[in-house]
Formats: sequence, C-alpha cells, structure tokens
Amino acid sequence: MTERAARSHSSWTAPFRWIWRELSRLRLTLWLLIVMFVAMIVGSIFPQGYDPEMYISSWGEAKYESIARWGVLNLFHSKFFLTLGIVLLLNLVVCSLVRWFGRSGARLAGERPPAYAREVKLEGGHGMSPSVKAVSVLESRGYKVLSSTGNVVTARRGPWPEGVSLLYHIAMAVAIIGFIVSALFAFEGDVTLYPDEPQQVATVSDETGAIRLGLVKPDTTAWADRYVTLNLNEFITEWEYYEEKYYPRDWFSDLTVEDDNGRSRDFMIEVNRPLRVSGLTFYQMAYDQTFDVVVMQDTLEVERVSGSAYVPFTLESIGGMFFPGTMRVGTLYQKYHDTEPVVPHTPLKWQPPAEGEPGEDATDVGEMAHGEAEEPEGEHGEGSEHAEEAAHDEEGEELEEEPPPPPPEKLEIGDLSAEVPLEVEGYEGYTLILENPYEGSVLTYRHDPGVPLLYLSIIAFMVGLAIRTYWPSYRVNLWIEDGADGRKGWLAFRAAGMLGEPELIEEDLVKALAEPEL
Amino acid sequence: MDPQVLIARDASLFAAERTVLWVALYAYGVAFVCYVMHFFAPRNRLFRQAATAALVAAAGLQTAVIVIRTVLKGASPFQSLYESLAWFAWSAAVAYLVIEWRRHVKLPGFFVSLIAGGAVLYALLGQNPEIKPLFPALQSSWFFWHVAIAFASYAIFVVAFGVEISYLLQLLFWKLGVTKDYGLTRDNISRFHRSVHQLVLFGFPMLTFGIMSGAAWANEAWGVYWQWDPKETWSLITWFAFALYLHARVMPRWRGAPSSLIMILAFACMVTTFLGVSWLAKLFGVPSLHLYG
Repeated sequence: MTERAARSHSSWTAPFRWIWRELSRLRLTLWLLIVMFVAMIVGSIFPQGYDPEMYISSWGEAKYESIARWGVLNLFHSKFFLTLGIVLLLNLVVCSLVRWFGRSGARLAGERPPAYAREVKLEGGHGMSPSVKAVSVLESRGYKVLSSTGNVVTARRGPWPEGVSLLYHIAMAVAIIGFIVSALFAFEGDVTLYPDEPQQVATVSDETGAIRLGLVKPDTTAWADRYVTLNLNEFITEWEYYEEKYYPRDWFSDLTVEDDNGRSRDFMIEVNRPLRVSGLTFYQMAYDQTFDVVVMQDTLEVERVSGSAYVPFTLESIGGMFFPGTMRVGTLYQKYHDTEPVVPHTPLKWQPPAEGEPGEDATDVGEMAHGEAEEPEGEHGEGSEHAEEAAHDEEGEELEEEPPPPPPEKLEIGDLSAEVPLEVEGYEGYTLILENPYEGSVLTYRHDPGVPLLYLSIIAFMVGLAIRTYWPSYRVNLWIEDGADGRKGWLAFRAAGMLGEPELIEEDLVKALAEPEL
Repeated sequence: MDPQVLIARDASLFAAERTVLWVALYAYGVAFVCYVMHFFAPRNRLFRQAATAALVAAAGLQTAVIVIRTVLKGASPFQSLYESLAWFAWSAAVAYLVIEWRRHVKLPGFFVSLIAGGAVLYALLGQNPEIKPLFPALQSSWFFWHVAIAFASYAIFVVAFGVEISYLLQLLFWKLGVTKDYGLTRDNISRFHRSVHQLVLFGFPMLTFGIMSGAAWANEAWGVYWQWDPKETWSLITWFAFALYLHARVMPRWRGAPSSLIMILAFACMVTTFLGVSWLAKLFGVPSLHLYG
C-alpha cells in the first residue's frame, strides 16, 4: 500500500476508530449513567404517559403546555431515552468485545513491577532455580501458571475475573435487547368472562410498537383465525374476616381453554398463578360484580334495579344517589374459625336528595314511585354519569342566578345484604335487599417475546455478578532478580471476591517462597 | 382450643410486641450515646463494650418482635410501613454487628444505631401497627425473597454509609491535626474508604436481585415486569447511583472525593426509594402501585 493510500485509508476509518475508542471508554459509561440517573429522577416526578385531557384537568392547559413542551410526560418512551439506552447498549457491547479480545494481554505481567508490588525473599531449594521453585509453590497451592518466561511468573487462582465481568456485561446487553423487543412486539389487553359465555382472544395484534413505527405490516387475513377461546366454568372468590373488616383473600377462575390449534384443556388460574397458552399469558386481575337491588314495602316488592360494584345507582322509590362498594360473596375465612359461605352483601353509601329535589322527603316517595319514573331500569348503572352530567347542566343554568348549594354528604347506611333488610333513614316502611349476586372474572393478557431474553439475562447477570463479587480469585505476578544479598523478587498480589482471605493467602505465599524446602 | 382464648392470646402477644419494641428503641438510644462517647474517648473500654452490648440487646429484642409478629400474622412481617421500618432497623443493626465483629471497626456504630433507632421511633410514633391479612398479590413465594434480600442490601448500604461518614470525619480530624488519641494516619483512614467500596460491592448484587426479583414477581402477578411506577423507577435510580459509585472507584480521577460524594448521593436515593417515594407520589400526584408498602 502506498503512503498516500494508507493515509487515505486512515482518514476514511478515523471516524469509526474514534467512535470505537469512545464507546470502549469507562468515562462514557459514567456520563451515560449520570444522564440516565438525572432523566429518571425527572421522569419519576411527572405522571407518565397519560392522555393530555388528564393532565389538563389536573393542571390546567397553560401549565400542561409549558411542561409538555419539554417532553417529560412520556420520558421513558421518548427518542431521547431510547437513544441513551442504545448508546449504553453499544458501550456495553464494545467494552465486552474489548475485554474478550484483550483477555490474554490483560492477565500477563509487564516488564517492570508496579508501585504496589512488595519485595519478597526467594529461595530455590533442591537445586531448583527460584523461578522453577516459584512455579512449584504456586501450582501446589492451586494456582494456574499462565506464563513463566525468564524471570517473570504470572499465575491465577479462582474464576477468571475479566471473563465473569464479561458475562454480566453481555447479560446487561441482552437485557437491553429484551427491553427493545418488548417495546416493539409486546401487546396486552383484558377480557371479562362470565360462566358459560365463551370469549375469543386474538393471539396477534396490530397494536404493537413495530406496527406503529411502520417496521412490520399487519397481515389481517392470515391473522383471522389465530385466537384462543376461553370458557369460564366457575369463578371462586375468597374473603378473610379480620378485626371486624373484610379483606380479599384470593380469587380463582376455573377455565376451559381451546388454543389456536384447536386443543382444549382445563386450567385453574389465580392471582400470582397465570396461564400461558398460544403465546399469550393470562392473569387473574379482578372481578366484575352485578346484583339486583330490591326495594320492599313490608312484604311487597315495589322496585327492582340492577347494580354493579362501585357504580352509583338511583331508585325511584327512595331519593338521592346510592354508592355500592365491593360485593362480598364466596367463601369466608376467619382466624381460629371454620370456613363458611359469605352472606352476599355490599357496603352502601347514600347521598340524600338535595333540598328542593323530588324525593327529598317520604311524602315525595309515593309520587315518585307511582308516577314519575322515566329513566329506563337497565341504564341505571351506566346512566349514573349521565344523570350527574344532567344535574351539572341544571346547576350550570342556575349558576347565573345564585350559587348552587353544596351537595349533601354521603352517609354510610350499612350493608346491602341478601339476608338482612336495610333501612334508609327518613323512608320508614321501605327496606332494601340484595338479590341475584353474579360475578364475572376479569383477566388481563399479554404477549411479550422480550420476557425470555430478560429472564436469560437476569440469570446470567446474577450468576456473573455473584461470582465476581463473592467468589475469591487471586492473581500473582512475580518478578525475580538478583540482589546484593542474594535472590529477591517483587510480588504483585491482587485479590477479588469478598469471601476470600487475601491477607492470609498472600502471607502464606510469601513464606513459602522464602522457605528453602518446598 | 376455644377461639376466644386464642384471640385473647393474640391480643396480649400484640401488646407485648409493642412493649418489647419500645425497650429495643431505648437500647438503640443507649447504644448511640455509648458509640458517640467512644468516638470522643476511644481509649475508654467501658463505652466501647457498652455500645456493642446495647446494640446486641436492641437487635435481640427486635428479633423477638419479628418472631412475635410472624406468629401473629402467619406470614413474613414486612407488609406495612410499620413492619418494613422495624425490619429495616433490625437488618441494619445485625449487618453492622457482623461487620464490627469481623472487621473490628467501631466508629460507624454511632451512625447505624442512630438510623436504626430513628426507624424504630418513626414506626412506633408515626405508623399504624395494625396487622392486616396479606393482599392476594402479596401471597407469593417471591414476597419473602424479594423483600428480605432488598432489605439486606439496604442494611449493607446503611453500614457502608456509616463507614463513609466515619471516613470523612476522620479525614477532617486528621486535616485539623486531631490524631493523637485516635492513632490516625492517612493510611488507616484510607482503609475506611476502601471498606466502603467492599461493602457496596457486597450489597450491590443483593440490590440487583431485589430489583430483578420484583420485576419477575410483577410479571407473574400483574402481567408486566416494568411499568415505570415511581417505586420501580427510584429503585432503578438507586441501582444506577451505586453502579456509578462502583465504576467511579475504578477511575483514578473519580476514586477520592467524587466517589464519596456519589456514595452519599446513592444513600440518599436509597432512603428516597424506601421512604420518600410515597411522599413524592403524593406531592406530585403520581399514581403508584406500591403505596401500600
């Protein structure tokens, strides 16, 4: 190669060599860690990834605009953070390669002892030269002699530290790849199952990051028959009664699942025990509860509405708004007692009608019950929001004349139960009963091909880090020279691994090298 | 046996647990005073031995509290902040006592007894001691290992921070020339700085396991291993801070004062992860799945 060609080649590769050199530097690692550290602190103090409406409703538009322009409201999925992750990945890969290719040079001694090397006395013995004696001493103590050239001996005992360090650096790189695979190909959703009402869940989705970024095109024709069918045979809930309070204990779904190959199997899933089928993982997340609220006047049923846990409802015969909590149904556990079935019930709060509203007292009840019912029964649960909106609209119109009175407080009126009729203050003669308790199972599902990579990296990382940190390893470099008063040497002893006894081992070595006998 | 008798027995055990924890708090107080006195009178054997004895007593009493609580709950006692604080104090005291015994160091004891005592005081005065059954999501074999190992790392970092503070104080005294009684030289002061590195090296894999086991557990329970929840984010911030410290110790220019500064910062991050996240989440209105902890 001519000098000109070499110079041209050198200038062409110079930027790559500069990039390689920078990526192999520990200084870059430090700065990346610092920048990511600061970015994560910023990301932790702003709610991440919500719809703009949510931010505007809590902060107002001006504040939202001023914060959003800095890109801190979806920081962990931003290009900035992704770029930092990719640079850290490259840094890890390059550092790992440098460790791998530089492993033989790194472990051998240089020509001169370093400043920390200590002077030791050397004896040969049995006619052996000091270097042969040193090799024997080291080998008899379990060291592997890596080099014994001239007057320099290099040996190691225990795991190879650079190799182990390489293992956990590669593991971190695999973990970052796993995160990227998750970000590109994972999808999730939820499904609510009711007994003997099968539901289909697609095992593919066009809602992945790769499709959103245009990296993959959805093939809806081929995907049409890729689904699993779930049928809920039974949903079981368990409660614990402790110190006069109910606590959820567990909930289970007894399922029959037909996978995307048409095979059918039975599974029982619960919290912390998911189901994996056809690339999807199903998790027992929650329950969906419905019940009937029956209003009785003496022994006569005067009204019946459908209710759901946490969905407010209204009654025509009793004014105001009712707020149910979780319905307790299933099996009851109590410390030191036998299990028993739970009497179905839900705690109920009542917001009495505001002054001037129909139904504010018992006189209005009869009128309401017998004539003015207009809202369809089936829309009570869902319709409560509309009812609230309507109330707000009405209040809004009144605002021009006088400020609206504050809404009445919600009162805890007891449990709406299947066994004990509930009375409402001011409505004598009327009682509420819960009937037809019904539960559905809410499952979430997720497809995440990044998870196996993450588990692999976790195992490799933990094994590598644990060996590097705890398992003792020792490296010895010995320089042998003649002194005025006989043979002497310089011993550079390095130890790693917390569970070792480096002082004892070094002293034993120094003593053995000075002994005339082996 | 009659359930009412068993319930009455539980109530008396619960009352006894509170009393024992109060006594443990006084023992931490005595230990702190003795460690401080030892700091000012290093040649006095009485202070040295009394400090260790008081800390051993406090840790022993807390062991009894943990056993009682475990019996009452029928599960590992680290569900509520009250229980976590008590566990944190106990693990810090035990970790320090092991290191004091193995390494013959005394100075960090004042700091460790202060932190442990402070945590117990906060638990007794500021937290609800009520025992609650485990939430379904917490009923997992991950629960014990995730919390126990993560808190073990916290305990190691408390001791490491105590050693770092001792190092900085000694360095200050050495620079002021107050070295006679303490037998301080630049070399034996630097040993404290190196010990911090060793301690962080020891605790770092545990912290890593704590985070990774939490992610694996979340994947089993919630179907997603990482959600950038404030607690998760701060645990990663703490991990980054300690990783930064370990890398800084390898760099000649960062090995001295910068690494001390990073160590202090990392410890602050750890405390924020443990106690500050709930406060931050409430202050900035950030929703968190970990607010029960």
